[in-house]
Amino acid sequence: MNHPFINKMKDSNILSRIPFYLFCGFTAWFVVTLLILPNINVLVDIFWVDGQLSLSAIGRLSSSKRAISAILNSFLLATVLTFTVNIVGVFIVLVTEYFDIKGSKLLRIGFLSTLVFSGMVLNNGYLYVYGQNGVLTNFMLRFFPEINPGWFTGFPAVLFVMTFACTTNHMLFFRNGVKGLDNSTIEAAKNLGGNQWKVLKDVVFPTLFPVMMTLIIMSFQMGLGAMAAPIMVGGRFETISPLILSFTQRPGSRDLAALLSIILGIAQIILLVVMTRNEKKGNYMSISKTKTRVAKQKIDHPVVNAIVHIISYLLFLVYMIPLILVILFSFMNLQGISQTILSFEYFTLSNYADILTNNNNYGPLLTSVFYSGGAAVLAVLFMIMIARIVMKNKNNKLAEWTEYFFYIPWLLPGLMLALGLIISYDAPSWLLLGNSVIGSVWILPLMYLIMMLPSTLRYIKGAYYSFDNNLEDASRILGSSSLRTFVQVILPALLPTALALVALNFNNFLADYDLSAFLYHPAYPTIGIAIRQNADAANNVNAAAVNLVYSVIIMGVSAFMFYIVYGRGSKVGEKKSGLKKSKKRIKLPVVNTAMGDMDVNKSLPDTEKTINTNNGKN
Amino acid sequence: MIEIKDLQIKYDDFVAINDINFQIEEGEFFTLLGPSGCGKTTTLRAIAGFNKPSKGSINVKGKNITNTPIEKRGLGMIFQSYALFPTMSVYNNIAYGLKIEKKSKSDIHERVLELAELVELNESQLEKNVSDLSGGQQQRVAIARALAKRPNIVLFDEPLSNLDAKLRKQLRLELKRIQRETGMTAIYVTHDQDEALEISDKIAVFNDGVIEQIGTPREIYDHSSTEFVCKFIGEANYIDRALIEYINQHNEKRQFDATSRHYIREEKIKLWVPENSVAVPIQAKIIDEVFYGTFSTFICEALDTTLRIIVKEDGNDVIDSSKELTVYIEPKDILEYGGD
Repeated sequence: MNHPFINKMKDSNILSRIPFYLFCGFTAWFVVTLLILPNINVLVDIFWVDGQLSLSAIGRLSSSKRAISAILNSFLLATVLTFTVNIVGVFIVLVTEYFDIKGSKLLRIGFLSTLVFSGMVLNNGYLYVYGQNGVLTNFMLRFFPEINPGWFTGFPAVLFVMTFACTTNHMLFFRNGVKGLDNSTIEAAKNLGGNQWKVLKDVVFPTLFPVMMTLIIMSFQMGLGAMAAPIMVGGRFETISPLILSFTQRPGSRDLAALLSIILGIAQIILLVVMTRNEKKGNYMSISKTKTRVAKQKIDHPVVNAIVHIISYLLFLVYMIPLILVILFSFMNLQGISQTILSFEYFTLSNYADILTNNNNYGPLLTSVFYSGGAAVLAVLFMIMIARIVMKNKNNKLAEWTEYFFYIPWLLPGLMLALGLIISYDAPSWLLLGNSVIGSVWILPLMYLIMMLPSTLRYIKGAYYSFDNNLEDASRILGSSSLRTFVQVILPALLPTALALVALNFNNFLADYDLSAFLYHPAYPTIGIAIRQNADAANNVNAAAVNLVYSVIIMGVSAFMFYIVYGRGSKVGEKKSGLKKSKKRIKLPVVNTAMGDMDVNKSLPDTEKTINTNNGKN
Repeated sequence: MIEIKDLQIKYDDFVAINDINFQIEEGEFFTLLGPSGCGKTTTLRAIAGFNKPSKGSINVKGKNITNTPIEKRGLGMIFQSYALFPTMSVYNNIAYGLKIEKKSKSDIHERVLELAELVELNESQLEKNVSDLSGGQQQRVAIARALAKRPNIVLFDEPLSNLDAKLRKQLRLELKRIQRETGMTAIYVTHDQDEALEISDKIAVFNDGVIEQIGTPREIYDHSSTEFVCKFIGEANYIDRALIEYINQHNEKRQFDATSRHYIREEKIKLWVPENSVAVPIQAKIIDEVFYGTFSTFICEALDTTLRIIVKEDGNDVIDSSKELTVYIEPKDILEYGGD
């Protein structure tokens, strides 16, 4: 073909840009169909009735005692949780990183256990220990038969579970903050006459104030959006999220569900704005070029020292007992589980064999693995390309807005987005090529993917910043096309971050319950749904055994993923990608909360890799 | 061979390069020299195609390449950070461009070995990961990679600035050797004046997005056409008005405008001159002495002017730094810029 027009096209590289234009078209469809329209439809569903503006939903909601009670409960939980989580969180970080406490390494393992022992698994574990048929409840009943076996329920139980589940963020970010303190400032304060308490109050806490503010907001937001814990141990204590689920299942109350989700959304946006403002104020990290690491402080007062040691170990037991019992009882036979007796006599592997051979049992596990795994891979691939376009067109308004659209799932609660999809596509739509989301298998993994997008985009963008742009220039000038450069040069360099994000996204949604409860297909329940159903007290001991094994498997998978991301795998990846050599770090932290993912590292001195535990799901 | 015409590059309202013009002959080693932010790298990247000019044209062998896609310009480039692909071995880095050209495996192998010899890399180093090499070796790989496709023009973006001083000097000479052996046209960006003087056939001195002077290293040094070039290249003493008036009074060859600014290179101030010289003798008082091994610098004061004088440490000029001395300035060596 030697036609002048074709030659001109070849010269101007238009032909090679066709895949790019196709991708842009797909992106536009995705943004409009799955991120913008569903949320607009939520608003329309509430405020546009019979072709005119209507505020009837607000009236109905305000007259619903159940709804008002749920809203008040959520704010109560959020407020109290802010105190409890931060008190416990700050304490466990100080005793593991700041004060010289005997056995702090062991304590740290215990306090970090919520990295893998989280979400539905954690709720189930606490229920297994403290619930109606729980190990501790049974044990106590032997000595105090008059105790109510159903004591572990309601607001105190939810608060208890969430307090210990949500301290993971402190172990990640506050711990990083403490490790980033400049020991010289502490020594200077001591030298000027400050005692231990004064140093803590006047030097350490003020320095860490921005991080603490962020953590306070995160705790509040986690309490507000709580879903799994109120459902599992809440009893009559109902909060907003479970109520949204319950209203959604009744077609006549869907507008109320939408309104509640908007209340959550507004609260989330306000909190995000407050947090961003807080982050923008900067931090007080050391400006010293010769910063010294914090030397652990021995508590001078012997009585205080003893009390701190005792509280530390009591907390350690609270963290570890459910985890250890779940693991141990997963190896007990049904008799051992039903009688809550740990003995070699009852040791068995049949629970595991049963899970791995019975389709009813391994089915939910496989479903969750496929859903979260598939969504994780696709989200990372999609965002790698979006990040590439955004980074290549930094001054282009359209690219800038495209990026903002992908942060929508950050601003709005997942439940609102899920509800939006249900409202928008409950009937076949041309936007979905004649499909509807009701009864479809793919709506749940799609929702997972949508929820993964903001954090994935943010961290892929971070990886692009770490990438030496000259590599791309070098490839182009050696004759490589833009596409080839992307595949052969950029993609391999981004691979460590991309793989880490796949692993983290997979982990975050493996034991999902919140979204599953809305969108799961009855023929393919996820593991979160299965655990919830098995956790019902009315269920037999078999169900409890299945849950124990599920829990151990999920913890094993999570631990393995963390090893891949933060263990040797990441180091090899960094070296291969060239980042190691250039002393640049892959920025991996993903802080996934009910409010979404946020970059707490801005407030932190040492952007050590941090991980997400998805505590918002408690 | 290369002609840059009225080139202008803007970033929003900021003009990074403003109407620059220059030509480079085939086989020439042409250096873009200037301080940080002067626009030299911007110009180089425009030639490479990474920066889009807002005005003007870039022509190579009479063909306008201003809008030619980067990969179709056929240029080689060596980056300050080397930009070696970390996911590829040394061999594959060098072979990358040849693979894109779809050369046969044997051709690629032959060319890689040839280049390895040229840049003095051995075969075992070719199999290594690039991160396992030292800085100097990495730079050799970057050179080999840029030369692999036998480009007529190679762009160098401060390629030696990440190396230590000794290695930098050594590689400078090697770059010059490779350029001569391959016959390529080299466009070299640096802020290091010594480097520019040592390896260039021609230098363009940049300042604030414009070219102050283009010339051979000797022209640039001895006949700096602007005060900026005079001060940027080498070391020059500023001559105060009192001293220039004294020189005017004591010579008949050249009279200076006392309202202008005057400079003299350190090495042009002499401690002795042959008989019948027209140099003006000036009494100076030594304030300080700095010993550098092969030479010393004397800081003197003469008629309100502080003069730095270089004295070779060859054992001939033994100066008693506690006394006054007579220094000689030839009027022809004085550089004069502007007036009131």
